[in-house]
Amino acid sequence: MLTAMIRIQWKGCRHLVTALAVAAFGLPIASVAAGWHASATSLPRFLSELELWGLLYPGLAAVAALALGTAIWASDRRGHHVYALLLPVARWRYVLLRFAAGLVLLVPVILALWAGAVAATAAIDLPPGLRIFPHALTVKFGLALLLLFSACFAAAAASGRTLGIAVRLLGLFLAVHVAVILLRPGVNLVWMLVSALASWPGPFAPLGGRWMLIDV
Amino acid sequence: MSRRSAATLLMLAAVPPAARAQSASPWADSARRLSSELAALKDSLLRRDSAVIEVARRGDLVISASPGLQAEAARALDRFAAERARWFGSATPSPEGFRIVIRSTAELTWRAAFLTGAREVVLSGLPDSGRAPRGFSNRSWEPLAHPAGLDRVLLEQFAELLYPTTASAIRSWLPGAPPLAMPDIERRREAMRALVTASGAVARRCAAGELGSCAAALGLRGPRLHEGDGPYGTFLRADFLLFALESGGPRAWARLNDPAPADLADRLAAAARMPGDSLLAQWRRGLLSLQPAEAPVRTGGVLLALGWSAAILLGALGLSRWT
Repeated sequence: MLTAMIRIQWKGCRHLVTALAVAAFGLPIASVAAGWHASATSLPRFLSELELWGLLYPGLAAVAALALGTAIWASDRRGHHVYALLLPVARWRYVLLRFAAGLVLLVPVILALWAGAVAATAAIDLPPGLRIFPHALTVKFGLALLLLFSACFAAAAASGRTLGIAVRLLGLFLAVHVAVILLRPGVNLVWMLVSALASWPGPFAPLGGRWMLIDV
Repeated sequence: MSRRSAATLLMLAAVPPAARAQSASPWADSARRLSSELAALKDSLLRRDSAVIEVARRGDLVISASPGLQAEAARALDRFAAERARWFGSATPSPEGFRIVIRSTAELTWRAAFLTGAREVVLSGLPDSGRAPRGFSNRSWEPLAHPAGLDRVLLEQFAELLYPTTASAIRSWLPGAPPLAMPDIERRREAMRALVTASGAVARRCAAGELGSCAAALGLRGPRLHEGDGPYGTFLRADFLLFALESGGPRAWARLNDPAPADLADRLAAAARMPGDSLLAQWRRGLLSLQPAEAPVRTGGVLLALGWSAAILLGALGLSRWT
């Protein structure tokens, strides 16, 4: 059944997966080609530019996760989940199958990034003092993609009622945030929430840190 | 500004006849002072500074600002005063003190800035003597975009005014003022990258730990290096100068510019209050300690990502109760 699920999802998402794989392959190559001059005096600047390019890796992971996470559930949402409910499989098993098939769709994107990173670093004559991280960067990208895909997948899998409750809770939180800001300008609830989510051991902490393909 | 000029004119008019019999020299001084006051007044009018008022004073520093920038200017003066003491002690470009004017050239309510995009702020500084009506004028967009950056801009402008007064040995070694607008952590990281990636035999030996090569690559000792030896650029020199100043504490700038003749390496060592080799060793060690030790991915990060992914998947199982 997993094979059938993968085939169905591939049919629905192959253009998306191809586009994301091309972007993932091109990103490391573009990041190196844009700033590499092989001159020692420009290396610190090259590394600073590469650091900025590094922000695009979690960005690409977020775009890929959002696109694939929602595309995977698009047909089910259109049919109000009737197809899923008619199948003689438990709901949890159906969700797991969808998730596993989605993970398979992530693999080409991750492999494309790895190939791009290896190609980008193989093309340069590395001066002393610099190290390359094509494999570690790919692992980091894969983990970020997995994490973000899980989050988008969960949101897209939620029922309409659950999503409604989530939206109301979010609206309530923002209203409380505005009220707190007006009463005590130094307290920023949104910032506190974002900090908690993005710092260790928050769920998005793995997105932080260095995204350097080449570093000292 | 206009009040001061008017007061000066009144004082001149009220001088008793006996005093007019004085020698020409005091009169010439008064005329020069009045002339400079008028020049400053004219300059002020041309720059539409009429709405600018004094906001705060810290010792010999004075800050004035346009409406809308006054609270930020007062806060910036505290931070600027602390940073100035950190790098330059009590030195000023002018012995009479230093005045800062922060003037907006646009309506600064957030609504107007949002609608028109006009958020220009002009920083103007002038020694309090009136001898040099405008030491500098800088148009900066940064302060409003990042209010905390205002003191950084002030510090950089202050350094640009002060730096030409430093000892000639220092200026011939490092012609421009050090990059003080850059946050410390960024400057140190940039310097670390320059140190580690420098090519050339001498620079590589310095990276490996040979202090004599560090001194040669920095241009402190020995013959002038060829390009192939990898002499360090002005950025690393500036970082070394700032390191020496910070190591030496509040009087470091004064020791660096001691009027007694001394060579470059001795001045820097005196500023840092330590032997030259110790200064070089500490500077190099400090930069190398900023090298990232760990790989981009750590085991803890892998486990955390997997754990959270599993938890979110479990959540997805619970959320998907379609009916």
